[in-house]
Amino acid sequence: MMLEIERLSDPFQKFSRDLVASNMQVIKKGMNHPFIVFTERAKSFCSIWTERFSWLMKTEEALRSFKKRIDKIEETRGVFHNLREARDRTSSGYISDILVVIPDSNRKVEYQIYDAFGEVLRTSRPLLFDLHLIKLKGRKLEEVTPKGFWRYE
Amino acid sequence: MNVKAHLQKAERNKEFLLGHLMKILDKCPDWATIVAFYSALHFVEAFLKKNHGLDFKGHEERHIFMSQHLREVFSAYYRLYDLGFESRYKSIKDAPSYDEAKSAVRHDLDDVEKFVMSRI
Repeated sequence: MMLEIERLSDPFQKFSRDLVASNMQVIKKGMNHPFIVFTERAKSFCSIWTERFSWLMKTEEALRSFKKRIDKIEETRGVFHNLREARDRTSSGYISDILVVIPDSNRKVEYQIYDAFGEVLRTSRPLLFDLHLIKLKGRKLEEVTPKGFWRYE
Repeated sequence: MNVKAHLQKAERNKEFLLGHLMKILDKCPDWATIVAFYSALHFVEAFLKKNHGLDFKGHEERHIFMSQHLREVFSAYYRLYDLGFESRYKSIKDAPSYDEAKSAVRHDLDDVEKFVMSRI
């Protein structure tokens, strides 16, 4: 059974630690079910769930820290995020794609954003991230945000 | 590829960029950023091979290592990567402008090359 992370449509910030803990309690209770088959499945699911969730929580921490730095850069207009499957390249099984929107090209601002991104990479190994800037050039946010990305608030 | 082969590729890309593309930059700023990125990539690959014996299978893995060991030029290199990406995969509206391409070649590529060549 695979946890299909690409289908998660809600922002990570909705997954609080309390929620994760509560879900784990429910699964643990299920594991005490008398039927062996159910127990084995529950164990398997629990193991995948736990494994992925620890990566997701680490990703969330990295994104939160990145967003905090990005918010200090006045020219930015939004941070967007998506997950891409990459099972054979990283233990987490996914790459986090990040987009930062700015009004137009500005080398100084771009360097500040790349610098903040470098900090994320240094502190969040072995997670993989890929950052790209989007320049509005007079367009609206809705026009430039690719499908599948959600706004990180 | 070994160090010498990476440097040859980096130089060859740079020669094509400066000798041809920069002369018609107003017509092809997107192609200039692509070639500038691939020149920078091979400079960096030469550095990684020579000083760390490393080859990376993906950009993301290389970026993690660079964020720690090539911090001085991480932003310059990443800008070239990002502009090259825009040129290759995004719409014409998203493609780099003349000024972006010019600054990428004059500043970002130059910084990466100087950093690598002074340490190789």
